Amino acid sequence: MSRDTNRERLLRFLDAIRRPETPLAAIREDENLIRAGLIDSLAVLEIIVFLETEFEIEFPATGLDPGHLTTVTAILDLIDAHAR
Amino acid sequence: MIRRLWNWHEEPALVERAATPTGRVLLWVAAAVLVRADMRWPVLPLLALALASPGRRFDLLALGSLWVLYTKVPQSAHLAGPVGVGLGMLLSLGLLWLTFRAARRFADLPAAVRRRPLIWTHVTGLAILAGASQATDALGIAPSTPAGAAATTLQVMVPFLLWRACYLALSGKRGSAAESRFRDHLAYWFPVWGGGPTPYGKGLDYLRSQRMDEPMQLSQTRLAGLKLLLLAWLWTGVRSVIVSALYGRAAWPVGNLLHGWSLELTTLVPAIDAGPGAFAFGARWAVLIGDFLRTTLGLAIMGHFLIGVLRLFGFRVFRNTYKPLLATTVVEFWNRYYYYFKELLVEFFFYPTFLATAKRPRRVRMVLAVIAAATCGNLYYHVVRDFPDYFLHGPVALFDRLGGRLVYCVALGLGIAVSMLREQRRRGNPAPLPDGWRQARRLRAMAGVWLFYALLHVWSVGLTRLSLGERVRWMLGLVGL
Repeated sequence: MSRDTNRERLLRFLDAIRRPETPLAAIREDENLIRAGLIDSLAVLEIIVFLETEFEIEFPATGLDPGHLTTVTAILDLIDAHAR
Repeated sequence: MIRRLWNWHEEPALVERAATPTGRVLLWVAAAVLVRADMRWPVLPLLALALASPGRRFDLLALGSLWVLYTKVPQSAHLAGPVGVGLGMLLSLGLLWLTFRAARRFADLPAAVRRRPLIWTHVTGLAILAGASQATDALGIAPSTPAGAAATTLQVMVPFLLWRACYLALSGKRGSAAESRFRDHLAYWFPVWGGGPTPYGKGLDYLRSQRMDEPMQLSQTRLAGLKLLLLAWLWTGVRSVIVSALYGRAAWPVGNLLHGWSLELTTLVPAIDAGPGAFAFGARWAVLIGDFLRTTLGLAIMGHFLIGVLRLFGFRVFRNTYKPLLATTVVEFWNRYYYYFKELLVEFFFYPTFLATAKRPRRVRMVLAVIAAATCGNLYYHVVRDFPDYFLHGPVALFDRLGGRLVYCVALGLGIAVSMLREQRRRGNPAPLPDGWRQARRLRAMAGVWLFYALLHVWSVGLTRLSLGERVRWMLGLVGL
């Protein structure tokens, strides 16, 4: 799957779990999602489950660096790395 | 307008000016005024050098860390003279060097260690701690000899370094340690900005990711550090007013602002010690809430000083405490109260458990992960940190002290798990209420969070002074029994 398609799926998912007061459009792709107020640290768990189910990423095998889940760019890089 | 004033450190003109040579000199002068007196050495000389040459930050911090290491050598080790102190320091650095080598060559480690690097780090650390604790007694080594000094130094160093070694082990697993130098790690092993076993600023991976190099971002980060130092002093003033009002003690910097008037309360530990019978019903609650507020402010003040200095060095790291008293859920308070301790528990207990239980339903995973972090991890952290108080005073004291901490950790774990599940259910379904109702509901939620954490506070204070029975009596006293 292309990076653009992955981005679209990811943004749709983030839109569903974001805090209501912070619009997704206000966040840059390299901006820290927690710091920008889009999500809280609880939502990081939702991102993990999303990546496990939608992209079949097995974190126990790869190890988890929470830093890889805090920007859109980093999450897309993680998906790309897993696909390779 | 108020927002703009509050965010003065983000004003483009100021940020630009603070990046100039004159601006940096003024920044240093402001830091010299605002940094806490006991942190001035070696922070201020190093900061002057870091402002002049920000590219050498890690090298400068490594230099400062050698001084911090020297100050961490316990007084008893100084009895053995310079040889004992030197041996203790060398041994500590040697252990860290071995940990660093292991992390750098992670791929060459035995498969069992590669699978569970954190467990192996803990097993090794605890074995050294146990060995060092027993060395002076079992082997009859006098503390005043160089070998005794080395043993007592390790007893102090291992609990301090254990979690930092874990961050390094994680870096090894992720492969990022391979690109690092030994001296890079000294920055957070013996940080010039201070702290205890919980590393403020976590490990090298996080520090590197938050290191600002672009001149305007760097300047803004430094100004954010100054702002945090100012906030620390502001809260110090507020706390001293509270101390004066509650206990009648003159507290620096405001002194006895209320001209001798106070509620004539005591802090929580002597109150529990005296028993609920020594206080009227309302005074018991006032003692509890007052001590909870004082402790929360104390943690915020300390964290602001430490993170303020870290930001002055150009690391855009999160605050340790961020408005916890405004939290409306138990989990939100936990996130905001002591961020770096929470992060430690999340990274080393919560995520590993959450990931290891991938085949279970999401809610079960979440509860298991919370219990692993807030209950088991929390208990383990404190037992290691205070191991002489738990293990060197006989089985009765061990049971008594462990019992109190266990109640705290179990209640915290359950509280956070319930709060997380409720939060998840509410996500995306905000209750449609008029503004007035929403505010009232918010205040009620905040009061509930205060109550929960204030009651927990009874179980976390006075480790060596209070018994399990005294804590239970105080809890009963709070409901009039």
